[in-house]
Amino acid sequence: MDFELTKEQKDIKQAASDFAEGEFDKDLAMQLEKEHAFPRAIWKKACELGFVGMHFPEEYGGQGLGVFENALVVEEFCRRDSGIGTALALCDFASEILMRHGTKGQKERFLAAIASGRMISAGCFTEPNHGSDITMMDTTAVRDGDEWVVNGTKTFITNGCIADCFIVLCQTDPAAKPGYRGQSLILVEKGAAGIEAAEVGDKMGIRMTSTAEVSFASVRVPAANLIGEEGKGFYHVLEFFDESRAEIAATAVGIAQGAFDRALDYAKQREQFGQRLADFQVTQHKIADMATMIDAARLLTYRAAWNFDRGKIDPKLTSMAKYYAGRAAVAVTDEAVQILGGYGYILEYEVERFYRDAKITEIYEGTKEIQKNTIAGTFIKKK
Amino acid sequence: MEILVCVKRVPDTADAEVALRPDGRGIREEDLAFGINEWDNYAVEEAIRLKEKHGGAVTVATIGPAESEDVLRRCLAMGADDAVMIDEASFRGADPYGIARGLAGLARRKAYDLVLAGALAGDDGYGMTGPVLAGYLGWPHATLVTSIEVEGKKIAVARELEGGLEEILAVELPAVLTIQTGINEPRYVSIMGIRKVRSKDIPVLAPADIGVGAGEVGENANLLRSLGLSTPPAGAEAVMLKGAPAEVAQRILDIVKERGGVA
Amino acid sequence: MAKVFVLVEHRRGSIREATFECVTLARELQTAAGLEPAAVVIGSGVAPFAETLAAYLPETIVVDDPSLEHFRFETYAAVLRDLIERETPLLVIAPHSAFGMELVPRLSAELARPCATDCVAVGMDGGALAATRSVYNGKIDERLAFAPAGGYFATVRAGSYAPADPAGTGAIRAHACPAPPAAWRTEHRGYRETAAGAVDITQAPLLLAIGRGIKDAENIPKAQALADRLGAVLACSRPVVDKKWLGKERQVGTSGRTVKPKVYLALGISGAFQHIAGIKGPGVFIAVNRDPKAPVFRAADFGVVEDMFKIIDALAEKLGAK
Repeated sequence: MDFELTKEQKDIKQAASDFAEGEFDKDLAMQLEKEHAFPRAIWKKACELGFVGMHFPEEYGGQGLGVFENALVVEEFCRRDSGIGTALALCDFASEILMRHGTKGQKERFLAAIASGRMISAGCFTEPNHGSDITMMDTTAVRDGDEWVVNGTKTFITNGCIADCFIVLCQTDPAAKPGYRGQSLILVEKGAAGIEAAEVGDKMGIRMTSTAEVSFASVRVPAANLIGEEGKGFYHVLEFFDESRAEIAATAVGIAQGAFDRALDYAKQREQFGQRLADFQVTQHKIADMATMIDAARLLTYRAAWNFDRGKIDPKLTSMAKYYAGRAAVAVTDEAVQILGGYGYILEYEVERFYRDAKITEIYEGTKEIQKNTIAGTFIKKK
Repeated sequence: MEILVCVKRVPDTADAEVALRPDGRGIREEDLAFGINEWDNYAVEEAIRLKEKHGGAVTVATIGPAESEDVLRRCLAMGADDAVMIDEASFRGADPYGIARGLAGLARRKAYDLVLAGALAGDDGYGMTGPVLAGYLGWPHATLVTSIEVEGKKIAVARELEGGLEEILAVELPAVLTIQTGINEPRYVSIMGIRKVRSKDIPVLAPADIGVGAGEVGENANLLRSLGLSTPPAGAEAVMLKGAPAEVAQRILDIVKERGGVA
Repeated sequence: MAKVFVLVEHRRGSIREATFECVTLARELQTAAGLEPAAVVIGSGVAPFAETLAAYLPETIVVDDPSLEHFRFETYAAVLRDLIERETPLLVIAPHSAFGMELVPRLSAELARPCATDCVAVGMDGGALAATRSVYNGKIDERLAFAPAGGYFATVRAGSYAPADPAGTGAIRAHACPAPPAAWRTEHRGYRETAAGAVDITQAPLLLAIGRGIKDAENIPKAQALADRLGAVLACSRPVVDKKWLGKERQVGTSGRTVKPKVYLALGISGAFQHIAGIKGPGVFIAVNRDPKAPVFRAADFGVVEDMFKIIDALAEKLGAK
């Protein structure tokens, strides 16, 4: 048992922290979030420095690292700024499916472009009629000669309006029983005729990340755009969720830590009734609760990522990490706003943004209820 | 151009609470974050830029506890070619003279053209290691350097003076320069850089390797001896400037002129 | 009797103010330790500086030579090595400035006479000289003693001592410049003014910050004009931005920018902690406010209880007279 990061991991964490400190500007963050804009310039720089696609193999432009190192980076990014951090954490969304199941050609073309800041990816799984349940898809892909023809609508698609490539979960065999055995993943590039994307609406948080409805009307792509095996799409996606849950958990840990830092700072400076806020026991207990939750969430997250990198796929553990880290993020950011009081409610003091950005971690990538189902399901088998 | 850069690992105390150890001989380090001294970071960047422009190699060196290796790895990841540590045990508690003596021994091991150091360190702030080192080496020096131009066997440097003024100095090589912040914009450490240095060996030299004999450095050999640390008296109120507006204005202008760097 | 030397710092025809702060320290040591103070003026055509110093200290030593026209370590150190060997002062003090930092530490190493740099105080401790230094971003004080040696050096942080006033008439004595070596290894090539940048309050060495006391938008140009003449960048506190009298880029504080100027001159700012928290670094903080109880006076180094407009007018008048 060893709870120490390796030297290289420490260096990576420090490098991410230095980059975030130097580049994530508070005023810029406030402006981007107001405009619903993706932090494009920062994203480019992050890619140049190797922070994106770190877990891709070196021959495809990556750094040959793992989910764990990825988690360290997104945690530091979100700690500095929940909005910019989340946008960067998600810019290569679902690319892991390509990395694990793509052909050599697909990987050469797309992974290198994603890692170097030339492409943003999106995973199109959720549908208006199915939500978190992806066992049956209305979106279809039908083989027509050398092409797939994709039809259907996906919703709540992360990066939907800014993505350059879409990894679309389609029903390729509607007759399959059960239905999910007839699903496949099709790669669709931006610019193909028949794609339309529109933001789902003004959001409470993660406003620098596009969340869109993406529809495909007879979109034709080459047959070679099938990712992985035909009929295995559902399984590929489930496997991806194990990985992405650990990363989302890391964003939650970072958001919680960032709010904690700011609240602690404030409590030490602010004086009320002749003493520092930090000297009141009520504040001290809040700080103790927050710090404890953050560390528990971090340990679960690190363990989930560490296991994943060692090939120990454990859906229960990644679900626990994502569920608990989300809960910690919401609880800690809530208390942070409370500690700052009236100032906490003002945009410029940042904690309210962390609060708003925290909530999504209990919703996307599987709601906390879905996570609990997964966790419970490992103890109580279905009869 | 062969360049040696002397770096130091220091605690970040700008935004942190600093508390004394119960014995009053040092500060509590447990809760502080450590990293490369800010001035040294600019020195490392400047050395790498000189190398990129004029060829040669950059070696970074430190005298400090084992954890200082983090700082050296960071410099390697930025683009330094080699790193070396001097075993800290015999230097423990050494004053800037002792540290400079060790660094001088190190600088003599190779034909360096240039030794760079931060103009000062964020912890003890002496601002003397660089020029003292130059004295021990017998090389010319310039402190508070804000630009470097190579002119063959010479360099032209700008030194930051007070009042928005710089002086230009031509200096023969080899030389020791201390670098002022703002001379450049230090690059971020990239993941590629970190990966490149992961298997890089950082040798640890013993005092004998750098020509320093037992007892020549360290607390007992110091020229400066600490009598202890204390917390500055709290609640210091402003010194009130009294008099007619014209008199007060003159005092304000005097202070601005002396401290503000504006003539 | 043992001597204390004050190294006179001058540049482009005038003595730098920090010299007179060192004079104050030398006088204190005369009282506390019985040291005999003397000023040391090195340069070319520096007779007028010696005349000036003679009005401050009992003795002024002048080394006047054309080769000493511009300060350089090499030339000054050659003079001082010679002078110190002959006169064996117990202590040599100089400002901790670009001049002192370049000259003193290396000279101390070469002469094996210990030097305490950036001292906020120098005095006697149990019969021996001791220095106080401010370390860890000013959060800790350290007391330092010197290992026994033939003599010592100290460089003094600006603002640690009040500048001295003239007192009496001292003697002036010339000291010959030692013969130069075969060749110098450094050469002074001139001075360069560093350009004033765009509005970036985080980089400005001098900030003129205005607060609620500015009262009205039509008073802003007055403050801007003063800032221009001072060579300062205009900054402000929250209320001024809230009223849109100045842009957000000029706001200092937790919700604005963090600044670390050499001088922060705050006019009509009350000193809410959110504002004060944005002012960092070792610079000097001067506050002008009508309210003697304003919290800004707890954070400032110097305070003036006065209507800010009276001070603005007085400063403008002084600057105009220059």
